[in-house]
This record gives sequence, C-alpha cells and structure tokens, in this order.
Amino acid sequence: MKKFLFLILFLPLSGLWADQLEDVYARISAHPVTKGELIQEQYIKVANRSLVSKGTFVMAADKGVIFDITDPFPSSMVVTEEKMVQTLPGNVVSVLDGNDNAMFKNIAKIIHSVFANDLQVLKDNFQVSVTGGPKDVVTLVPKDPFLSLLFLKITLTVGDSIDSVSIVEAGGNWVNYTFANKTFPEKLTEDERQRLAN
Amino acid sequence: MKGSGWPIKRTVFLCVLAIVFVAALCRGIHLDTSFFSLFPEYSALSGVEKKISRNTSSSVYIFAEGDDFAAAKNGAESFYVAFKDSDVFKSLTLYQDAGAFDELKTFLFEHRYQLIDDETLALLEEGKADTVAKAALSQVYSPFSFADLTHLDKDPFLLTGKNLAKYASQGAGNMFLKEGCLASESDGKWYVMIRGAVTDSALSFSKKNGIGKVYEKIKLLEKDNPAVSYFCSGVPFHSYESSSKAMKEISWITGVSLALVAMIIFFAFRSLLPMLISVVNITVSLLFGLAVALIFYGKINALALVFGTTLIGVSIDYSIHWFVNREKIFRSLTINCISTEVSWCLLMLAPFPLLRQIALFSAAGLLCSYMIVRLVYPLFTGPALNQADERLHTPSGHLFRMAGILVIAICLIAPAVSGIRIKNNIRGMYTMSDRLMEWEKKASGVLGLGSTGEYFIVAGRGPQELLGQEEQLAAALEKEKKAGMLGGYTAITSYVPSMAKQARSYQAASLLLQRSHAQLKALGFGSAAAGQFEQDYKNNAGRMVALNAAPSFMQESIDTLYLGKVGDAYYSVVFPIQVKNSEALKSLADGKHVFFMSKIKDIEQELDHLTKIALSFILASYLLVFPVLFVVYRKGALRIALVPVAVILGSLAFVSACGGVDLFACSGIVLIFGLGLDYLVYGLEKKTGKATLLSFITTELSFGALALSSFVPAHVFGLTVCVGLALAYLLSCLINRS
Repeated sequence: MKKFLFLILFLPLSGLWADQLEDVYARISAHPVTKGELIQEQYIKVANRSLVSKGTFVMAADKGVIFDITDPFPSSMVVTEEKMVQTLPGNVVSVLDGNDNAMFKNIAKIIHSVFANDLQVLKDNFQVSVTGGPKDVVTLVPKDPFLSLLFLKITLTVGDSIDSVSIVEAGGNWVNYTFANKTFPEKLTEDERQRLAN
Repeated sequence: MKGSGWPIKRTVFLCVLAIVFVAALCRGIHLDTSFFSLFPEYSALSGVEKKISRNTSSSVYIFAEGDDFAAAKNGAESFYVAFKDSDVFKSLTLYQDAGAFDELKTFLFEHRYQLIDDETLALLEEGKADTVAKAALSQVYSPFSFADLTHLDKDPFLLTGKNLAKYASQGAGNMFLKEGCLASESDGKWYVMIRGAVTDSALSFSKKNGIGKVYEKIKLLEKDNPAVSYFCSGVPFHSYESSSKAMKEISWITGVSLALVAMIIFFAFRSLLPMLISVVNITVSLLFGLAVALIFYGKINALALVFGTTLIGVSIDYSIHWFVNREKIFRSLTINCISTEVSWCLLMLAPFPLLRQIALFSAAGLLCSYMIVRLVYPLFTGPALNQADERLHTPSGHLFRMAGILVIAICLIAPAVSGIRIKNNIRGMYTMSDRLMEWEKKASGVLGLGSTGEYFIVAGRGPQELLGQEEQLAAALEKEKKAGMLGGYTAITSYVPSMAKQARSYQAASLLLQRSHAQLKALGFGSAAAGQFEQDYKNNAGRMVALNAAPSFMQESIDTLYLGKVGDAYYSVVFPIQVKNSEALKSLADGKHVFFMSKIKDIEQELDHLTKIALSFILASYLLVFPVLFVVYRKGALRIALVPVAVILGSLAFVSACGGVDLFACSGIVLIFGLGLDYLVYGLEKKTGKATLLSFITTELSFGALALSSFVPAHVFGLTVCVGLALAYLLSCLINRS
C-alpha cells in the first residue's frame, strides 16, 4: 500500500521534473556562449577547512567548458564531450582522452552534459529533481554506484544561466563553483574555439 | 602360410591386436581439439608458448547486445544467472565489485612512495621537486581534477592520484563501468560483457559439451527476448566449431568411402564375402591405427583422424590384390607395404605433431591391414576375379612406349615451366564459420584492444631481473606509443614495478621531504602534519610491493602475464595493443632477454622450413627404396628410376601451379611416392589389369573424398594425392604395357 501511495505521489512529479529540467536547460542553451568569473570553494574534510581559488570560465553549450584558475595557483581544465585536458605549471599536461579509453570518455561526457544541454545523458546517468523558486535548483544523484565514487550529488542553481554548481564527494569533501559577472557573447574567440576543438 | 589352422604367427598377431586395443582403452580415448596444438614447435620458447596458451586458451568473452543499456544488461544477467553455478565455467564475471576502486586507492596510497608514476619520478630524479609540488598545489585548486584529497595531509604531493587514472584504465579499451557491469556503446548499440574461463570438462569432446550448452542457451535466450542478441569470443569457441566440423567430416568421408569401396568390391567379385571381409579389415585397421596413436600420444587431434580416413583407400588395395591373385601376390604386397611404410615412417620424423600423428595412425593401420591379409585371409576361400580378364588387349606396345616417354618428358619439364614455389599460408588453413567470424569482428570492435596475435616474451634469470628487462622494454614501447606505432600495451610492470625501480622511487621521494613544510602549509595544515609526513616516509623505508600483493582485480591480469619459471629462466609476456607497425616492435627484441613473437609469421616460416625437409624426405624415400627394387627387378631398372621421378615432378608442378607447395601438399607427394610405386611393382609382377585398376579406383575414391573436405590442409593433401596417383597409374600402365 505504501509503495502504491509512493507511486501515486511521485510518478507525476517525475514527469513534471522532466518538463522543468527541459525548461531549465532551454534557458541555459539560449546562450550559446557564457563567460565570466569563477570562484571555487573546496572543502577538505581532513583539514577541516576550505580552499578557495579564482579564475575565469567559458561555457559553450554545444562544445564544452574552459576553466582557467589564476589564483592562488594557475591551472586550466578543458572539458569536452570526448576528453578532459588539465594543464598545470611547468607545462604538465594531463589528458583523459576518450579516444584512448572509454572510461574517460564516459566521465567527460557526463561532466560535459551538466554544462551543456544533453538532457538524455543526464537522465540516463542521474536521478533528476528540480525545485522551483526564485532560481531553479537541479539536483542530480548518480544512478550508478561507480559514478557515486566520484560524486554523491551535484546541485545546480540556475537563473538565466548556471549560477553555481555544487558537488558533494563520497569522502565528505565538497566543492562549490560560483559563476559570477557573466556575459553572453554570440560566439567563441578563435583561441577558445581551438582549445575546445583539440 | 597355410590357409587353415591357427599357426603361431596368426595367434600371436591376434594377441597383439587384443593387447593394443585393451591398452588403448585403458589409456582412454582423448581427442585434442585445439587448433594451435596442430602446429610445429616453431621456436626455442615452445615451453613458454605452451604456458601462455594454457593461460589464455580457456578464456571466453560473451557479449549481450541491445538497443539500450537496460536491454543489454538484462540479456547479460539472464546468461549469467543460467551459467554462474554450472560446470561449464570455472569462473564467470558479470558484476564488477564497487569496492575494487577503494581497494585500488588504498593500495596506491599505502605504496605511494614505491609506485611513483614515471613522469613524476623523472622530474624528481632531475631535481625538479618544486615542479612536482607546484603541480600538486595547482591540481588541488583546479576544477574537476578528481584528485583524491582524502589523505591530503599524508599525501600533499598527490602521488596517489597521479597513479589512479593510469591504474584504473589498464587494459580497459572501449569498455567502461556502468551500473556495475563492463559496458560499451557504439553506433547506437549497447554491449555488456561477461568474462569467463571454461572448465576442462567443458572442452571435452561431445555434442553436449560446455560450449555446446552455451550455444543452446544463447539460442533459447534470443528466442525468449528478441531485443537482445549475443556474441562470443575466445579460443574454446573455435576449438568447438573446428572439432565439430572435423567429426562431421570424418563421419561422411568414412561413410561415403566405405560405402563406395564396398559397392565396387561387391560388383567386381559379385559376392558378399570379399566385401564383408574387406570392410572388416578396414574397420579393424582403422581402430588399430587409432589405438596405436592413442597409446603413443595420449590423445589424437580430431583433424589427424580426418587425414586418417585415407587408410580406407590404401588398405583396401591389399584385399583386392589378394582376392584376385591369392598367395601369388604376397611378394608384391610385401614390397609395396615396405615402400609405403617407409614413406609414413619418414613423415613420423617430421617435427610437426599433426604429421607425426597422421603418419603413425596410417603406418600402424596399414601394417595391420597387411598382416590381416597375410595371416587371416588365407583362412577364407571365396570367389576370385576372372584371370582371363586380367590382360587387356593392347593395340601396340610401341605406341604405349611413345606415349609413356611423352608423359614422362612433360612431367620432367613441367616444374621448369611452372616453377616450384614453397608457400605456406596458415590463415588459409582454418576457415572460420561465417557466424564465428562475424562474432570475432564484433568482439574486436567492442573491446577495442586490437590484438594482432603478436607479443613479446621477456626472460630473466630471476623474477626481479625479468621485471627489470620488462621495464626497459616498456620504456621503449612508450616511445613507440608516442610515435604512434601502437595504442598501448599490457605488462606486469604496469601494475607492479621491479624492486629496483621501487627503491629508486622511494629514494626520489626523499626530495619531497624538504618541500613538505611549505606544501602542507599552503594546503592549510600545521607543522604537526609536516612532522607526521616525515615520519610516514621513514616508516616506509625498505617496504616493497610483491607481485602477489596487488589488488585482487589486478591479480587476474598479473597471473596471465607472469609465466614464472620455465626451464632455467623466468618469463613474462607483454601484449602490445593496436599495433600499427610490427616491424618497429620487432626491432625492440634483442633475442636474448626480449623475444618478439609473431605466431602466424613464425609458424609459416617454420612450415616453409618443414616443407623443404619433407621434400628431402621424398629424396630419402627414393634413395632407400630404389636399391631394394633395383635388386628385385633388375630388368625394369630404368622404369623404376624414371617413373617415380616423373610422378613427383609432375605432382610438384601441379601443386605449384595451384598456388604453391605447402607442407600438406608435400606430405601428399611423399605418399604418392609410396603408393605410386605399388602400380609399378604390380606391373613388373605382371599383375596389372583389373586388380590394379580396382585398387587405383578405391584409393582415388578415398583421397577424392578427402579432397572435398572443408579443412584446407585435408583438401590440399587429398587433391595432391588424387592427381599424383592418377599420374602414377597412367604412367605405370603406359610403361608396363610397352
């Protein structure tokens, strides 16, 4: 009986969330390119403190995301549907290339889907719920236990575009990305286009 | 030998038959169905090769395919449930343990000082500890870095995290973890993989063996759930299909040959007795050949039995000649038996298991047939062929002589025109069924490992020297990988480095001690953490990771790659993946510690070498038999010298024109020499005519049936003997009647 009640209560809601999710991502993808400042706050449980870093970001709805951290230590991360390229000081480049390894491709695809409008990938990999309010809050809980090893929960706060992304990790650490001072240019610069293409 | 009673020789022969059959039954009837066990021991590393084969020959991959992941997973689960507790598989894995990732992280963290990744180790050994420290800080502050920060106070340089991606992706290819299973997506289709190793009993030869059960279940599952289809990959499936095909062919070749031979004997003698006696002789001879082969080799290859069916055509000759000529033929029979046995015995010397088995099977069977004719047939009195028909009226001996000389001349010239090309093509020997070929193509695409059958064997005097040699090879392979010559490789040292490298790694990590205070401070830790860091480093002094200390999911790979001690040395195998240039890899082998194994090419080269040896066997047969015949038939010396040479050269020319002389064609020519001489000897003994014609027809029928086999070596062998014997018969007729 309880199961039945649960189904009655939640089945229509899941359909509603699906509609809301489409609305949310329709707003995000209305801007082909979003740029701005990035503030990353990372809570380290073992140190019981947060590490804050700052930089800039570029989100291209159909191509991927560029994060350039400038303070306190420079680094960059480019995420496309196929791969993740991290560049550290001393020209230390770490590439998780999906062409070499399907596991990397899967991770890159999932992270890419959070920022792009690939709703099918999101629905395939996460239990999705959307809470309305002044700003929509999209909560993504991985369906796959292996994905849970990377993140327990992803929460997006979305106004006209993504305002923040919060990720809770399995070990008790969490990270919060805040996207501020956003601009919405029509297209990517040549440099950005190349970084997302390679 | 008198025709009645039971003299000692006859009784002794029957006792020998009984003892051999009982001994074979006690030993057990075992069929070898492995394809590669057919081939010669082509290198000094055969013992190592056998161990690799043992490690990999029972492995299978079963894939469930569906339009979406749920359908594919559902299909895989149905198969898994059906077989997880069966006696078909000794191991069957569908679900990957989620705890394996944690186990890996713990392993890498605990041994972080011994297992420093190559890039970091190189930086540290160049004194660039600052670069390592800064990169770690940047990574901690970098978005989506997936750095494991759980032990940041103890691992502030992220030594664990740098290894994590490398270890987690070892040998993954196109497969990735999804909902607890290994899955892949390609062209809108989803695949879920089940890995397994079949039991020895599952490979035993019977229609209902383990692989047969797998096929049956797949058929049922596909019928029950049309949304899912299955395909499989692995040596056991090939062994099953080839042995099933071989047994079917044995059945029909034996059946057709026996039926035709029996009919011919019946019509020739117009009596059931010669037919029945001949069939019994053939059956007993076949069983005797099988029994002797089983006693000597323990098990016989199913394909050797396919070749062995030619015994029907050869042994029936003795029956025919006896029924026509009775005791008068014994001298010719003995000479012919010796010449054919010499051919088979020479083939027994070939360093090639399949040929040795065929030769022993046939030699024993033929000897048995001869002994039955010699010792048992005189007990029977039955109808004989009308001797008046024996001699055919010939138009002119002169014409036959001219025709014979012409044919001999053509045969002698033919090889000069066609050329004699030695060419063995191992890929052409085994024709995969369309279904299995389709499955293998799909499996290769889904796995994305692109194995070419080429690999390295690494040797060392001890396990540590072996790992050291492997690391040198791995370094060279890394360069080739960067140059695009290969996609990657799997090696033990990718999981557990040599102790020398682990010691180097620990030593290099000491450079991080001087940076630890600043590093930990930058990450928000106090000086107590730095003190703890130094203490941890000291506590790790002298620790080493042994091969058997790797996480359980890695151990399976290590056990496949580590071959252990074989003879005086220790060996491991390194598999290159997605090889684009074999020659570049071949140059990495020094032939002392590192060997490049290209199984197909190596076997083909060895088969070419064996073909040359087989050609020398023909010469040896000639030199062995000719003096005996020359002493017995002085008057026909020229014919004896010329006819076999013409037959051999003519057959070689024919085979060369058909594509090249391979080992099986050459083995056929060795036999042509033995059997072809029979026609010449019967002619010299004035026993030409119906008996020889009958024996020629029955032999041709037997080898002709073999020529229809779908197994290429059997086809080549049968066709060569068919053509060669036809030539031998024609020449014998022409020369003897001249």
